[in-house]
Amino acid sequence: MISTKIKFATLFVCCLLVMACTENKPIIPCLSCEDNTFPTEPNDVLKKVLMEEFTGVRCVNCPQAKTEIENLQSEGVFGNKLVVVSYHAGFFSRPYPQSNQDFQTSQGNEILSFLDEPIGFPSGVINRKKFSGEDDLQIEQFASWGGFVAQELEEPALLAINMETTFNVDNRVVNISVNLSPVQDISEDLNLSVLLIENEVADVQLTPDGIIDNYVQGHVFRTMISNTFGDPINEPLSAGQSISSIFSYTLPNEWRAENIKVIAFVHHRNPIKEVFQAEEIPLLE
Amino acid sequence: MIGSLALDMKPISLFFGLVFWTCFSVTAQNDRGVLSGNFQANANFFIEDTLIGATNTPQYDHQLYGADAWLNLNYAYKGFDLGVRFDLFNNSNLLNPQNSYTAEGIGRWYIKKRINKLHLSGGYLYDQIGSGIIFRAYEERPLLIDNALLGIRLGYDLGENWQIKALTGRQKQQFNTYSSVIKALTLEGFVTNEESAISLSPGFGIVNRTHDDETMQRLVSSISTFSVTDSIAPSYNTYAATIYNTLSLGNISWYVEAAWKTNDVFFDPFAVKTNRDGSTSEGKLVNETGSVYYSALSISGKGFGLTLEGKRTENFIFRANPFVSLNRGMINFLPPMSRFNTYRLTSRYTPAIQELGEKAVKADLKFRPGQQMNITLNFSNITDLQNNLLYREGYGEIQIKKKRKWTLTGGLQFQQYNQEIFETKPDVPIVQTFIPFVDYLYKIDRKKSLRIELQYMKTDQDFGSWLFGLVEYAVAPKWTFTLSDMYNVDPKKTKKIHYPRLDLFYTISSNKFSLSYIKQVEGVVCSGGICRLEPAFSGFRFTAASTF
Repeated sequence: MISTKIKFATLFVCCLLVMACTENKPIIPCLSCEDNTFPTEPNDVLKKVLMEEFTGVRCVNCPQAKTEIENLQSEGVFGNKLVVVSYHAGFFSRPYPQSNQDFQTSQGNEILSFLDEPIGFPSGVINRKKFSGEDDLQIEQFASWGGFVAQELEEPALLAINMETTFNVDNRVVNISVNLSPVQDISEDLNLSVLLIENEVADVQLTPDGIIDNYVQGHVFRTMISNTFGDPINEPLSAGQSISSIFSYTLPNEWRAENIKVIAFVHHRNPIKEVFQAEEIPLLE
Repeated sequence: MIGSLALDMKPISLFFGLVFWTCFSVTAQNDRGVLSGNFQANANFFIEDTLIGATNTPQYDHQLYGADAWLNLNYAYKGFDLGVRFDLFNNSNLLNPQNSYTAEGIGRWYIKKRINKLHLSGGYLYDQIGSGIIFRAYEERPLLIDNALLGIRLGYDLGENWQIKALTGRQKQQFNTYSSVIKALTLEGFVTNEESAISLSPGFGIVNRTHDDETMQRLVSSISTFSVTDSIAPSYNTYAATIYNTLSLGNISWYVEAAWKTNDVFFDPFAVKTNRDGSTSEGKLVNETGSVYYSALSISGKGFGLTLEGKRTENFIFRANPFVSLNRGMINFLPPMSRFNTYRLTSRYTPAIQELGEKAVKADLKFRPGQQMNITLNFSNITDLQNNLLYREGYGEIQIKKKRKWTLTGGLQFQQYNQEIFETKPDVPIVQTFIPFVDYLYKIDRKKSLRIELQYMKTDQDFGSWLFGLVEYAVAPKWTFTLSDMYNVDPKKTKKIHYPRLDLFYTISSNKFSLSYIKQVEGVVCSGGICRLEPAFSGFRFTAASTF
């Protein structure tokens, strides 16, 4: 025989269930719609977000992450507001015996250590920011990268980065001029990092369908032209006043200049690390 | 990685004052209450060994040392129970085997009080509903799982045999909490009939997780990047409900549980995604309902015990945060359906629980033909929902004892392990192993004993065949010395490498210490689309554990 207390408790539970079943669900915005743009105040400087992906030729799920990056960089999503560099570093980046190249670099491995080793690959660091709910800078779930990028794009751009490049075909010397234009006074201790990536590099890659010999890699990190962890910006960053830096580098013959892009980003110094602004231009216009 | 000091200095000073007072006090029941506790610490000293891959982590590169420790204090006084635990991680590789984690602070505190039929608890709470399928807050230190609920719990006794309980709070995330709010309600009881031998222990539970605004905004932003085909409608609230019952009749015990979950957004690594250019790929966020059905039947009699289990799981990923995976943010716990193996080689291939979908059966039979003999037989079979084999195991063991003289254990294990699914290695064949083993314990005299263990794994897949040997010499009650070696006798991937281990254990009263020299083989484990390397270990390890 069920006691009155039990009956009452069961009824109470059922009432809770009935009352708790309705909610107002969020509306999913249309990113490709013309009236949905990210804010560009103040002074209409376009905010750009840096994603540093950690990948490897032996990482079976990394091709899916590359596909996701292509989705996010498509015109209907973030377009050129998302700047991506892919470091081949860590255990999964060791080349196969049949690989044409070794995409690993000592600088890439140093940056991997600097930005925390991920618990698994692929992994991405977005604006070098530790988001709430995350254990560290690394975000391993690539399906969620878009949400974090969108969150960062909501922040205003306080600094514009403009670059110009020259390339001497004969001696393969690249000269890069980086111009920083703050839109307001900035007092934080910041560094400037400048690096080169190469797109359209075909080589061996492990995929869910097995090993592919001519898999086309994208955003492959080639070298830091500045110091690995950036050059300190010692000049004051005052609104309306620009500061410039010049960098030079000799491209190895193996790299195809027409596929090279230059990325520059301004970021806080250690331990904050967060990226202030990023920019990317092709080496050859 | 530099972590954070999770507590300011005043409470730390008070805490250590309490610790020192405890160490020099005698624990006894008196007017001042009862103070008790326990302590556990591990310290690793890393020695780089590139031959086995023990390299390329901060600990091997430059830190050379890592440690974890937990100090627990409990105090009971006039119906109040209070507890506090100090956690410490120095260059620890528990949170992330590839990285270094440093933080320290109060890992847990709680207050409990019973007022007649009302049970009150506040602080970091461990609890579960039924078998844990919809809610389990627990601690598993080797994996650094600690998903205690920081909140309050109210329980009320509805008569002698029934209790209703409610919890609300946020899940622990190291020294912080996840932002989502978790609530739970359970009703459990016991029904017996004096005229029959049947008794029932029914229960009902419901859990609700509500996402916070920031998490929802991030979800919405992620979904907004999807193609129209893949767009989903997330909800702030997800509900999971379960009903369960244990029927007891003499020597028969039958547990049944059925759980369901409402729509929930999670990452499905196998879901087909339509990309912006019209191509397709695998892996996306989905919004699906879920279910788990589980049953365990136990029959025991004179000299035998039989347990049969069955489980079906579909889309039952339940996390405090939709962006975490592996062992992070788990709200629930799905019962494993493979045997818990303890020998080194028999436990090398362990199937990971497939939260997305699996069907499993398990049978375990133990019987005693005579006073000195025990026989164990076990069979497990796990498939996905399309009946593709994930794991199969047959295990048999005979143990013969000569009273106070020796114990001989021998057996065989046969496994089929789907490495392609469990470790996301495309096109690799199913690993098939055949493992004979023998374990001989000989009591030299009243205090001294010698144990010898031999195992051989025969396989043509993965790393190839292994040979394992162990010699253990114990001098009761304090000392135990162990020497073992795991040898890749027929390698398919590397050279023939030895992985030796030397252990020294010392036990005195309720204190246990160990010092080990270890070479341990690496492994790669993939789950939920994320591949994680469990690196090889090379170096020394010191452990200490004490109860007071």
